Amino acid sequence: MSLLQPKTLKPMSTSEAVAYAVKQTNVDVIAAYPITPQTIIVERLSEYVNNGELDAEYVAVESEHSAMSACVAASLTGARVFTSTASQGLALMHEVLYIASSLRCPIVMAIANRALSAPINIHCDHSDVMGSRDAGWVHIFVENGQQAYDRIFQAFRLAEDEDILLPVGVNIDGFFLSHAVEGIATISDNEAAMFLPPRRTKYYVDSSMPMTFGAFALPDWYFEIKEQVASAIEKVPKKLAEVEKTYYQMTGRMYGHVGAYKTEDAEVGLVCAGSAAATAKFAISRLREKGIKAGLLSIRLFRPFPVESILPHVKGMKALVVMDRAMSPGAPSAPIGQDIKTMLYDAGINIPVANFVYGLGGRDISAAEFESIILKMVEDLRSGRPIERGVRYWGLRS
Amino acid sequence: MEVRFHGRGGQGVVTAARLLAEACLLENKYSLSFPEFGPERSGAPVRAYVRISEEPIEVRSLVYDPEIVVSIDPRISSSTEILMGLDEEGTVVINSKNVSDSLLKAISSKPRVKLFYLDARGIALSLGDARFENSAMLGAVAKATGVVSLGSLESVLKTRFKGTVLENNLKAMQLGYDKVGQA
Repeated sequence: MSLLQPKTLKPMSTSEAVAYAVKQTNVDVIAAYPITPQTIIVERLSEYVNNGELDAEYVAVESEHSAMSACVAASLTGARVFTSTASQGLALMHEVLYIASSLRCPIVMAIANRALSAPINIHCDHSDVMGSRDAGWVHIFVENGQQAYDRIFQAFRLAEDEDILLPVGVNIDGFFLSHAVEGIATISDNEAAMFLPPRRTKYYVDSSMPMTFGAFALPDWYFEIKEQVASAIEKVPKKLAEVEKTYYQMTGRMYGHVGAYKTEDAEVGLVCAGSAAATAKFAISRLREKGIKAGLLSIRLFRPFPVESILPHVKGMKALVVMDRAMSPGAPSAPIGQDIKTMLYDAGINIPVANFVYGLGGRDISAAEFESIILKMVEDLRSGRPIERGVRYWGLRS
Repeated sequence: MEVRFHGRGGQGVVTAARLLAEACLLENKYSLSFPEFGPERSGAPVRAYVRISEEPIEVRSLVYDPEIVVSIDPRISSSTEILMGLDEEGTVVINSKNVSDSLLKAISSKPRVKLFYLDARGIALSLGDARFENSAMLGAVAKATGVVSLGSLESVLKTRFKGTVLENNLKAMQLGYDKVGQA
């Protein structure tokens, strides 16, 4: 990965970086609810539109339910559409999320991942997106502001591909990323336009060429239409790899479906998503200095779950630790734990998986904590102690 | 290098951290600044952090063992809470006319810690507005720690402010740089 000199980077919060990227995509319509739990993202975009820097329709709606409804309608006209939300806002959009994917609307949404009430919280966790994970959206997690900026362009190109035509969520950890300022390498407006030409689509609302969108489908066809969504999302890993390759040729930056670090000879693999994966990477580099064979698998593409990209790294590992920043109360595993265990079972790999829920409601997790989690697993393996199955909680007050 | 800022909502604590991080970028160092996360409420205690490194920054957790602690609020400056987790060879820069006995006592267990103080509020008020005290404190941080040059901080201020607001912030920063004293 090519590294730019820090002095050439632009200081931006991740929210500002996302807004700047969206401006450079020449988005046509932004519909958003501009009040809490919103972020700086739509505030900046409204300024860009107001200042005449961005020629887009900015629709300030009265709720997130309306925001997503407006996005669906706008997207069906063939427009390039963006919105952003977090926590309660994503929950309020819930029923329209399914409509967006089933009507094949390539909307891009930045989600500043935050806890769901109650208690009222506002801080980071992944409860919001995990509650929406079966809605037929592509979901990408990012570890820093640079990834967030780059993924916005990739998300539009992927979403608007006629083989895909699905909405994409770019998930940025609330506060840990959304409010953190760092140097961001940007592309020029020209490069953005080359990478992402105006959207072209075959089917759109046009009075000279009448078509029906959102039609009724009873038991005779409903099932087939839903299966088409599932079949389209299965094409995402291959398509995203192509999109990333093109982006890499322009920028020298590429992230992949999974961020693997030191997995080649790792005995214990740590699976994680979002900003904590970056902290975990540092923890693993420290463990490696002590001779501990640990590796990291950062889930960057979460839906579809990139089984083919993860499996080669897992083969040869003796155990996995899966860290989930969301609960699935009553389920045998937390969300990412469920996916990992299903993947292992299907591949015929029977290794112990420790599944921890951590960091709910913004509780921090440090590099030292990651180190101790991995060290405990290494010791358990060496001493032959059985690995506790089921969900455990990390960092819970006693 | 990790820095922790203490202060209250409305005193420009988060802005000070951001300005420091931006100045470090200008000096070709990687930096990351972030607030301790909450709805900004006027008057409530606020913390903000900066990480500075020659290498790209991975760690995204809060800062637990800062090398530098800065207190922008005069009352928080007398609290020993600001020393929490401070590196054995760390530096403390507080906004205060003098150093409280309790702080001196607490710091005596870490003999290599350096303590600096500045009457940033006095400087800010002499320029007509208490809101200049964060700029005065940044000037003091530049002198006391050498983590960043005054020139880089001035360059960052010039990208953000204009006119008399810029002039007064630059003056406050220079005065902070000139007047900071070691306890």
